Amino acid sequence: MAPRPGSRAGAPTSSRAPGRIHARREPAASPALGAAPLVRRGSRRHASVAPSHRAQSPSPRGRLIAILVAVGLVYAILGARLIDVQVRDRSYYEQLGLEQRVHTVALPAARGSIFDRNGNDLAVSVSRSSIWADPRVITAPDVYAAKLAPILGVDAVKLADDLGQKDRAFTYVARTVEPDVATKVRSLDLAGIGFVPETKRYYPAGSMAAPLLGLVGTDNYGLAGLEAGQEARLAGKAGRMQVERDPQGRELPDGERRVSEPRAGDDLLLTIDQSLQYEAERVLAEEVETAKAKGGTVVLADVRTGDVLAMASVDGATTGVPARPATAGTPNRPLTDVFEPGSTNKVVTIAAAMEAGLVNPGTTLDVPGQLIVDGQEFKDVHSHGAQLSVADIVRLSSNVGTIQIARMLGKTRFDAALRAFGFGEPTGLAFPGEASGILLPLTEYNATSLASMPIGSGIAVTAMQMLDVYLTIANGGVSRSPRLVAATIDKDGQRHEAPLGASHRVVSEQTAASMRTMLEAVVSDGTGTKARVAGYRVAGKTGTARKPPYLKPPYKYVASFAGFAPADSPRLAEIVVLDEPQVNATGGEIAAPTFSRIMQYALAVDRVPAGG
Amino acid sequence: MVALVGFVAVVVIFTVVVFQAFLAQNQVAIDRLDRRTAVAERRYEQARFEHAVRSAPQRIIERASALGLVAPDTPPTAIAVAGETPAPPSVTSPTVRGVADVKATLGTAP
Repeated sequence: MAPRPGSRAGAPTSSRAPGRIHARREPAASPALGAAPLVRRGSRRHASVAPSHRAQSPSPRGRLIAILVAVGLVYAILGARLIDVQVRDRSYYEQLGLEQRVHTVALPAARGSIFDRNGNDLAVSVSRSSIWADPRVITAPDVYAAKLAPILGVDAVKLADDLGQKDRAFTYVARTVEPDVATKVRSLDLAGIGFVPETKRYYPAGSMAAPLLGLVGTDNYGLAGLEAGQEARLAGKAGRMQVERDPQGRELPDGERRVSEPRAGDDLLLTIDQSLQYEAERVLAEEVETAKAKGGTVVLADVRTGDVLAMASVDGATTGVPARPATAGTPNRPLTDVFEPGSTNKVVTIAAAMEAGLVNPGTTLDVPGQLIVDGQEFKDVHSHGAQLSVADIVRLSSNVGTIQIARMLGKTRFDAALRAFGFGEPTGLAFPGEASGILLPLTEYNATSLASMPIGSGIAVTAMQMLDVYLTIANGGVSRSPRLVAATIDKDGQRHEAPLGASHRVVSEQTAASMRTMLEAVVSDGTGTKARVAGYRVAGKTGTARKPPYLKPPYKYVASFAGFAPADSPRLAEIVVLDEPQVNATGGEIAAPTFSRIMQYALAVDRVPAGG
Repeated sequence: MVALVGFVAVVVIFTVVVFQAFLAQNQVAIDRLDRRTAVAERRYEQARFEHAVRSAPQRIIERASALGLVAPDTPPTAIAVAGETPAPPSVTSPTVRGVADVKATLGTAP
């Protein structure tokens, strides 16, 4: 090593030591290395200056102690720091180290599928790629946007803005794109553009049963319908995986790896029949279009089990758009919307009076054409003789006759009957947003309540609630809570049957049988003849109610028909509700034919033999 | 004695190395199988989805119409015939039994 120029000038602090070293090395040094002349020069200089510095230098022992102290101090500091790091703040640094190399990856749970009663897919989750970008890496956002926007079908300017946010390390470019789109983007091989696997919810049958099924958000969380109502079952439980990675993000071969497996959500097996649901929506859309109605709903159910086989909502035509099934995200109106039922509610009044022993189908009453109650006029739509039997009151849908029977019953028993049939509370389907209906408390009845409510005015029910009444009559007087979910299938493929809804008797078997007979007459020879189904005996009741404001033209109506078939051995019950029909605005004219078309198809699908 | 200890040490080290190599090899094989399984699951999901789309009622009707089929005015009516009366349908959707059978073999896949 060549001495520094300063050293050669004779720095006193270093003059002695180099001299000793060199003197020791001198005999071993090879002349070929050129070290000897340098040593000699140094030796000469030391010889002349050393005596003057020797007296000022500390003793070797003192220097050694100083060095030892310094070294000891350094080790003491290091030791203290070591104790500080390893003992006192051990957990903190341990955690810090773990965070640097251990990464936690969320393992999303597979969302359960939704099937119809025959195992057809109504909602499935499929793996898709989401595209993300690291704007810090992207140097030309405009160029990127120009390439990506046409493929992704997004606005290039907005995309360029997103990609130009240099302060962000991550931004989504597109979520859950189709495979061909992902392939095209991959082929561009753009730096700073990456892909992450996600699942996307699909409804293979399109908008069929959309309000019933509901929808999920981008992160697969149920937002409406059954997707929201059954979220706990469908979502499952997310897992997580902890892996050790190197600074480049590669997994360490022998690193720690802890996996908490996700638990897949359960599949739902609905009571809905895809075929019946489709047909119900198709027929209803046609009839809504024909009637120029604002909308319509249909519910079809199995009498024996209360299983809902179809639940349809249709939106009426708007400018340039024909009537069509309601879309996802819209309310499932058979359960969420209430309406004044009109004459379909007479069944409750008559059944309650028969159950109380006040009347029977043959009981004859003097029924005038009109009735004044507290200054308000109630009249019959269909002309009739002075006397009507109870069966005729039902067959001809006599308002006056029904009011007379309700007065015989009294408001207490009438109110009890309404509640016994399920009005004023949800049906038990546990559907999100299900309405309870509007039922006047007994204490708030006024002078006309016992006139208007027995004929279906002044109360509001959902279509499902009203269908429940007819299911009860058809089921021999026993009310059974309806079902939408027949079973669940867990992650291991095991099927778990959902129990049938709770049941309770509302009216006697005899009352129910009498009501079935009278309701059959409505269809065979009354206001509901257009509900007939060739080859089958059908029972049911028409309903036409004026919507508020009641006395301000143009009048708006809700037309409905509820019934079941076969009348003598009921298998299926159905309700059709049309909101504000402009043409043939009565239940018998527009709702009954709709009922007939759907019921005919349903009887065929369920292979119910004709002649019953 | 020293030679014996050295020999044993070499054998132990060699065994550990071989064992580690086997582990790594098997892990590679497992990873490869995982990837193939994931690919197969994605293909299954996609195929099932496409089947569901193709068997949707609207699509069938459109396809049938394109093929010239015409819907009947009224649906067929079931007629009771003489003979042994079949058992009434199960109260829990008879046709779904097939789904349960299939599901059992699919494990976590729906």
